[in-house]
Amino acid sequence: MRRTAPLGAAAAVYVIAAWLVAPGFFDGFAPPAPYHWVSPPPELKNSNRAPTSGLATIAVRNGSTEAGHVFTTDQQAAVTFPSQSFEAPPNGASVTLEIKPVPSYPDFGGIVPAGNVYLVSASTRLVSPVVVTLRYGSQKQDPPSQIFAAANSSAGWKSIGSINNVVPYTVAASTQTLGYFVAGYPPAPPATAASTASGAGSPPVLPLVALAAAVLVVLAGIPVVAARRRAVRPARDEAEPPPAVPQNLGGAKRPGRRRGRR
Amino acid sequence: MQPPHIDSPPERLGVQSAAARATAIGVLALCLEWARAMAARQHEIALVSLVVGGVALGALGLGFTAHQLGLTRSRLAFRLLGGLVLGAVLLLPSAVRGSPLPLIPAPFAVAAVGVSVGEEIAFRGALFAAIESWLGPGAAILGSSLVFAAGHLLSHPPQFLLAVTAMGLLLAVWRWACGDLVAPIVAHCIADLAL
Repeated sequence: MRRTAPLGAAAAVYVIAAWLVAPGFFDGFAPPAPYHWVSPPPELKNSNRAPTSGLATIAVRNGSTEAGHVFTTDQQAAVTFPSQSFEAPPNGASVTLEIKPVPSYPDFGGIVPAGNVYLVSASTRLVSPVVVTLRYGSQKQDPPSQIFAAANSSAGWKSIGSINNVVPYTVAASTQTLGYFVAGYPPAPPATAASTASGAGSPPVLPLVALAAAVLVVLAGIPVVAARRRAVRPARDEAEPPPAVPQNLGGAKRPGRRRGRR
Repeated sequence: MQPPHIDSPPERLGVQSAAARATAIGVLALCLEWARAMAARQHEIALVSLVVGGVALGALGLGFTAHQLGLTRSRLAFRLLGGLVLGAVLLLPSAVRGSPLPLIPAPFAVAAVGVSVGEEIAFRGALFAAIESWLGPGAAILGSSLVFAAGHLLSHPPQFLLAVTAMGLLLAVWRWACGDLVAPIVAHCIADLAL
């Protein structure tokens, strides 16, 4: 108990500490590089680096555009497109596709952005869906669940949802129109996003997870601690053989506790 | 009365030499972690730097016996099982919150295992044993956790460091309570493979 109790406590402390940072994970082999903001939060103003653009030239073969993808050079935004996604120019020229972080964009109208707004444009019309993947910059909120799009600077933002995406710290969605894109949270009572940032939005969950972690670790530790104790006992007995005859023949007071022979 | 600590160094070093050894291991581990983190920023040498860094960290355990490092083979099944449970607990917050946990590409997976093993031998193995022989188990738990967190200063965003410290604390408490480094190694590998 003396050794398993701290084990349970340490597991609970870990769960609480890891819960405070999205995505609820502590170490990671390759943690994300700092997000490059167009308009950094005040605390990141000194360390922020400007986000970069991405440009791709899409070849046209046999009258249709080829498949491929384009990333911004800092890999914060990407567009993946299958073949025949863009209208092929009549003269057989290639198509250019550009992703650019922009400082001005349509009013969010309640949407809570979790990163930069990117303007995706192409030299010809989009004719079939492409996938937009955006890395989000916020580390303290739950991951944003969707991407919002606005077709032009005067259009309103609309959610285009999200698709299954295995790349951590990113959200991906399929779109049939180009324009402005941002990863973020839908207009909702502000308390939702703010409170889940600290885990307070789900009060029953965190204590349960912490308790489960503590119980799991203690249960896993008990056999190892017990085996260790069994290994210690013979060593202790060897160090302290019980006295064969009374030691206190002279009537002197016994010491308060036994001392091992050295 | 405290039970004797069978995994502590059998020989009692002088206070000065114990302090010198713990300090040297701590400084070396920090330098190796920082150098590894800086080298890994260069894309061309990222993989090599991770593997070399992991091996170098593991080399810090060379002056210790397997017993001192908690790497004996007794009750190995229980310790491996403990590692699986610890690994599950490390991923638990992320899993409950529904965050994606993709596996990393194969070459980086090998490097991840190398780094995880190296870090455990350096921090919960050599550094823990060195501090324990100098100042006792409490200081070993706290000291190894703090140095482990400091080692991640260059590779992790600041807001992750509290969780990194807590992770170091959990694995160090296991190391103290169970006298075992096998489970922390297994757990660390699982966690790092899940990115």
